[in-house]
Amino acid sequence: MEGTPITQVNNPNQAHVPTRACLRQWVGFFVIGVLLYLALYAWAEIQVRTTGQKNRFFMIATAPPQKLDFVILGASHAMPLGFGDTEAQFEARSGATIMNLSNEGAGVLPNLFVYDYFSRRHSATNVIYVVDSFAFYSSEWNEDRLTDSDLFRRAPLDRDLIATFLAHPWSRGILPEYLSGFAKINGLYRLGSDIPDAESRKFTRTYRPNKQIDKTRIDYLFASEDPQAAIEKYLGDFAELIARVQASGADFIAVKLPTPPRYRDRLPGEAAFDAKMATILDSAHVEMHDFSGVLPGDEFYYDTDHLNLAGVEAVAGLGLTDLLVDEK
Amino acid sequence: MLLNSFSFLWFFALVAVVYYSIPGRFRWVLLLVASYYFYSAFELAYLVLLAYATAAAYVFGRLVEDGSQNPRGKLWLGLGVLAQLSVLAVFKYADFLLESVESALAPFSLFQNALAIPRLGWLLPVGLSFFTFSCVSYIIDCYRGKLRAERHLGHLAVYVAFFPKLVAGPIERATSFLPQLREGATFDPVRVAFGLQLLLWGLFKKVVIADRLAEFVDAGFTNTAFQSPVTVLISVYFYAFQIYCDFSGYSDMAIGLAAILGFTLIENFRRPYLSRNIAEFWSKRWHISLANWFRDYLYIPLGGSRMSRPRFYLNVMAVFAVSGLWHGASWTFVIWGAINGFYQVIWLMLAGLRQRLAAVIPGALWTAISVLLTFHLIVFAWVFFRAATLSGAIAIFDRVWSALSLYPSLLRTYNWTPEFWLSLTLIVVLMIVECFDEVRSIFHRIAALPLLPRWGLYYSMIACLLVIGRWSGAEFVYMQF
Repeated sequence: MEGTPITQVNNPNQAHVPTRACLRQWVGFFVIGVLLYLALYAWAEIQVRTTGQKNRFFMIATAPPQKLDFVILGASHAMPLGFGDTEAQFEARSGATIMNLSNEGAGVLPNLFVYDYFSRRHSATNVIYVVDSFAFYSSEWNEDRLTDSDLFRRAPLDRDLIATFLAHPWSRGILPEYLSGFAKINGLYRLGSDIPDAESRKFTRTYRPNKQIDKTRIDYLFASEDPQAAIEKYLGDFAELIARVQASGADFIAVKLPTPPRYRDRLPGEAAFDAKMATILDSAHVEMHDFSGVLPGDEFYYDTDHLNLAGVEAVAGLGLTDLLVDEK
Repeated sequence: MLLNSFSFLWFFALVAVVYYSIPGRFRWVLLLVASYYFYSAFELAYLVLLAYATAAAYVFGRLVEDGSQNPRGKLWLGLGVLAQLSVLAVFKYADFLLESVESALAPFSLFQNALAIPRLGWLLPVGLSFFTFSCVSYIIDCYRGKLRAERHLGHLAVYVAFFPKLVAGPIERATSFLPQLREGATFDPVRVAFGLQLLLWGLFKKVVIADRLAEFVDAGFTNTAFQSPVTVLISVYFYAFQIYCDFSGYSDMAIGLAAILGFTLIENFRRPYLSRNIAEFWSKRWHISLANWFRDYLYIPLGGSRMSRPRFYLNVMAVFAVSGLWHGASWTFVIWGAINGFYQVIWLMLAGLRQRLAAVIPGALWTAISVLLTFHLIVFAWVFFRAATLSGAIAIFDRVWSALSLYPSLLRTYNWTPEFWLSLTLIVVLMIVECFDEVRSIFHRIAALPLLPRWGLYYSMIACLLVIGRWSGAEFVYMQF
């Protein structure tokens, strides 16, 4: 009943095939394979462009060149400012044009990268950077985040993006993977909607606090082998980002968004980080607008630390809209 | 550098091209350099262990050669085996032993933590169990006169470190490998094409199936008490296929990579879930190279089946318990091995009943019942293999059994995601392929196809790898052993 053991298939005495004919077949197989890959690549590119909505690289690549009043950078805390129709609400109330380019888990380097790419197509009068201390603690939120293929899964093939990759030593290594289009092809079958899960499913929820979940979240965000060295390094990169923004003629505005006290009080070394951040900001004549303590209630958050719809509306009324109006 | 990564595939392509471009007499140097480079990618310091295992095998191989005519042969053999196993003992079992001693003495301790025995805390070097067993088999084969001790240290080093099989086997014998290395390989397109097919199939099993199932398995085996019983049940069944696709995928890739370089490695898996009994599963179909190793170097020296009945059963139990311990330094592995030994003993004891049943039940039905029963016994034992602790394994059974009467409603309301259906479909496809393979080799079937459907099949598999493959760099399960 049992079939031939595979090692017997590997029998050098079986039918002899001339090497040259075999190699010719292999070349044919390879060429057709490359053509099929290119077809798959083209299909993936079309899918990325037809289904794209909120992906930051897609937004930059497909928006007509323009000068915006505000560009928002930062990590996931900044993302709710663009969820649902909140960005349109901010625009209506302030009369300013806004593009939210914040990304989940994005530290200084991913933001520097995104801003560099943005600047090749568009310009901004103001850049709002939503500061999150965790993003300065580890390469996971910086160099490693840039190598995360998920980040570029929906990034259209674009000359300016290639130039951006080449412009930074820490992003050059990712260029081959981006050019190969593998991340797009590999994500084809789960492309679906280009709306973050947090926006489509969680934004209107209210969080029920859980100490264990809060702790797990903090442990995850602040895991670092050498936090002090990381903070020094990424604060240096942050200073470079400020300099670049200011050199492009835009104003740099630093903002801390609200977080609940049960979360904020657990942050390790936050006061020391704030002091270091203040030194960087002072030397660049940048003001920090700190909203971190204005919304203590859990009803303003959809999870451990992210603003929900009620939270965004509340912080808008507590000074964020005024900031946009003043700085516009 | 994992076999399921693009960096490895590029590395291998480069090695293969250079391998066939240089004269045969230099190829062992290339293989050795490539193997040491490959191993150093995990941790540079591990190279010391690899070099030590090779040097010890070389020295003791020479000392024990033709042990029967060598008055000190037995002594050198004992020392040689000890030299190999001591590294394994220190890196793999020392902490387990210390922990067990501490737990055993804890009830006698007057103060809490009074018996806190310090641990070594050393990381287990990748593939240590595999290359240690290769070296042990080499020394014993030299002693038994099956093999002339290798005079060429470089060749022996390649045998120990040959990178396709280094981190998770198959546990190749020197009697088969060294002659191939000496003989050298000429470029054979048929052999290379066969190697590429196996590489593709192994990658498919690992990247498309195993790593997809891993998500379901991890969900069920993590925080089990908080998971739906359906989630846990799915994770138990899916684990059987995850570990099979993960490990056999690696073996297929290793055999394929070796074939491309002109080497034939031992077949390690042969459609295990079509086994009709536990003995067949372990002796002929699952991790064949390890089963053969235990048979030749432990079971037969213990007396095998040529002993009294109780001693025979004891030998079986001992071999399975040691096999369990080989897999990992934890009681879960020991129990897993003991369960399999117990299955085997019961199966042997029920020989008369089996014959009577086989006589009255139609052949096909008897085969189907045997295959299904064997599969479920294996699935049961896998729970101990996968669970991190004994209590974790018990929690799995508790979760599955406690909700027995609720399954109709739980199944109706369960969130059957597209990812689940895709995973199930892949398992069904795998088993259909295995059923066909059981009758006639799937590689022969493919070879007999006309060009168009054959290439279509290859392109479809490559497309699956690209589009639905999980290229997250998940390690192979057996690498931790």
